[in-house]
Amino acid sequence: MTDRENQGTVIEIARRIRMDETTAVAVVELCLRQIKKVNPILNAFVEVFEEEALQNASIADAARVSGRELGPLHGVPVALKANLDIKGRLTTSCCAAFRNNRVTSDAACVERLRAAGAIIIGQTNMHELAYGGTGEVSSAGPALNPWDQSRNAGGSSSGSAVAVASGMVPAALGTDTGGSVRIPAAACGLVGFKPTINSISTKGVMPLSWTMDHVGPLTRNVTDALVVASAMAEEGSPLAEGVRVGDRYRGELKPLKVGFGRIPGFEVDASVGEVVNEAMEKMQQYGYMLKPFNLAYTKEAHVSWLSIMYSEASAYYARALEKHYEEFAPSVRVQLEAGRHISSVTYLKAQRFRTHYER
Amino acid sequence: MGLNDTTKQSLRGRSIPEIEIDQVSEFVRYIRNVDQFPEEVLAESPNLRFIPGYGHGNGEDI
Repeated sequence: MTDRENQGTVIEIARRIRMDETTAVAVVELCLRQIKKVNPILNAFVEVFEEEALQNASIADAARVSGRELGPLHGVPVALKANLDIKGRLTTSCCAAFRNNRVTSDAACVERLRAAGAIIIGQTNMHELAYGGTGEVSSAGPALNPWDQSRNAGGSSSGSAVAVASGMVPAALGTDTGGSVRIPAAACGLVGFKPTINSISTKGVMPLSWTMDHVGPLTRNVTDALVVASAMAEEGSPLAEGVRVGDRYRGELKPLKVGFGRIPGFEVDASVGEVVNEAMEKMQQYGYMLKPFNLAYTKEAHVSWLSIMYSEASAYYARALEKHYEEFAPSVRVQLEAGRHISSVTYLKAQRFRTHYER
Repeated sequence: MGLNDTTKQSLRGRSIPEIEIDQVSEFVRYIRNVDQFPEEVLAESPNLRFIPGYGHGNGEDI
């Protein structure tokens, strides 16, 4: 299920289209073929925009022939998690209570992707309301891990990770509040990261926790992740200067200082530790300054995160929960109900602790 | 401390299953531990526009 020999990376696809070695239509057709082949088994997509994607690919090809300036993602198919608004489509967050939630405009990050030339190919499965890390709870049923279908794909951006790992698309977007891009990236063998807060707008993202939600990319390599994230970044943010970050990698700017946090008394799996150590050695070889530190107050951090997420999610979904209790999955509605019983004092302290912890 | 009996009763009034009421209570009990934060780890938060000490004098009155 991870056969993707005909697929390229984001960078390769964009370059080949630009150099007239392939067309956006051909790339989209390749993705659609792979989706038809494996999606019935893996359940990564909740909706595929076949006709619209082919039409937009055709427009992209015409733009290239006419000599118009091309964006960094020109003709590259991208899949979007089901909590990102797409004009004229349903945003459900894979929750039955929102099955009729048709939206009238694109999320800010989707607007930016389109402006960069990306072709939106479909909407991906997710853990309901992004309220879980497995992808197993969804009104569309679980997305399966393409490497081993007996295992979950990680979540909440499960479908986006499965779509990229199984070669259905070269890149997809997820959202991350407490690991929802990073967990499925790890479970499916991909690159995914949670960009610095506010560097990518969350306008038009169906929220879980509006002060902690982030949009992030899922790709097959680091460069692709940088290119996709940079294309969505707000002007003035370091992420928008993705190319300059690339210069830094090549040693043309002062190397970054990288913090390396440990939790005292907490041991990682030996094979994981080995890979992390190797990565740190390489970073040092490239001149990065590694700064080890011990993470403190980890229990408080966990409780603070939960308090903020529960309070904000419950506030946002309060009316929907009252009206449609039965249409939320039991594990989700229990958390939504719990958030209604957290005091404002607890929420405020949690936000203040979070600010201390982020320093 | 999880949910008190009055709150549990109100959830029963909304026909929420007993097993879910127990789960809600357990989540709430865990989260209420946040009140154990020591003062030195509470900072001004841009999310709250909180201004520590503003108008509070030496704090003796609050």
